[in-house]
Amino acid sequence: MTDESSFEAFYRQTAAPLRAYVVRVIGSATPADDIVQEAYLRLIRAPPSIADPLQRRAYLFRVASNLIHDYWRRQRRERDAADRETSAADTVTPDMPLRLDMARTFERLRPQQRQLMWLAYVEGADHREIAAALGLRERSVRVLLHRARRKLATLLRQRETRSGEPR
Amino acid sequence: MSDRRDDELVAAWMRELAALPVETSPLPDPAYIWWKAQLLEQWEAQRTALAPLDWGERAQVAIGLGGAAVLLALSSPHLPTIATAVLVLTAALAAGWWRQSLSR
Repeated sequence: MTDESSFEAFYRQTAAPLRAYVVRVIGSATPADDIVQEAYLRLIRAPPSIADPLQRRAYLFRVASNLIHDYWRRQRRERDAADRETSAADTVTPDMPLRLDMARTFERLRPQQRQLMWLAYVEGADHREIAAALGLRERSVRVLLHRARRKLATLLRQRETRSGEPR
Repeated sequence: MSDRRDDELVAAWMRELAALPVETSPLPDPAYIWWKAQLLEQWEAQRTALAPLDWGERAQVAIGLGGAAVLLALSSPHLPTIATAVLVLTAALAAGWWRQSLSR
């Protein structure tokens, strides 16, 4: 990432998916935008020696994941309050707008589970890539992902039961 | 419910979630981010370049204070207690300032 035009091309390919990842994982748009911007600034200021665009994209997601963890550390207290609020939102009503309903269902996963699920199912990352992005062992990713998937499936089944209309 | 059924349910739902638009402000222009990175680089370079000057300034103040203390002690060997207290206080203040400036 040594010149502006190559950065611009890379940015146009990755910015929207990266922001979607950060927003969905932390559940808030304003800090997500800061995290996304900081991830790109770090990429420009300390460019990795990676030529492959896919690997560079994976590296960008790793930087963003680290920034998300920093954010969570800083916001621990506020996050606890937010989690309590999310728990209160367990009583999702069927007429709740779909977007909000889905976002809240996703937020009922633990933060790390949200990262795992997004990277696996939306980014299509394999266990090795997820492990690198989240600083985990590959074997742990397999187990954690399985648990996250089971939890989300349970949540979705509860949701179907509540709304009475399977998706 | 089997793992396979779970996986299908979750995969379909995740695709649906990913397709939902994220309601945020428009993404910043890449040129802005590039410019900001260059600006941060310049500031960092300036800070690095000015670091020796900061050290020199601190050394000057320390030498000045030390010299003044020595001169005062030499010119008045029988300083009253109050003068000694002033000296100690000055030295303590200088040390505090030094530590504060180092932590910046």
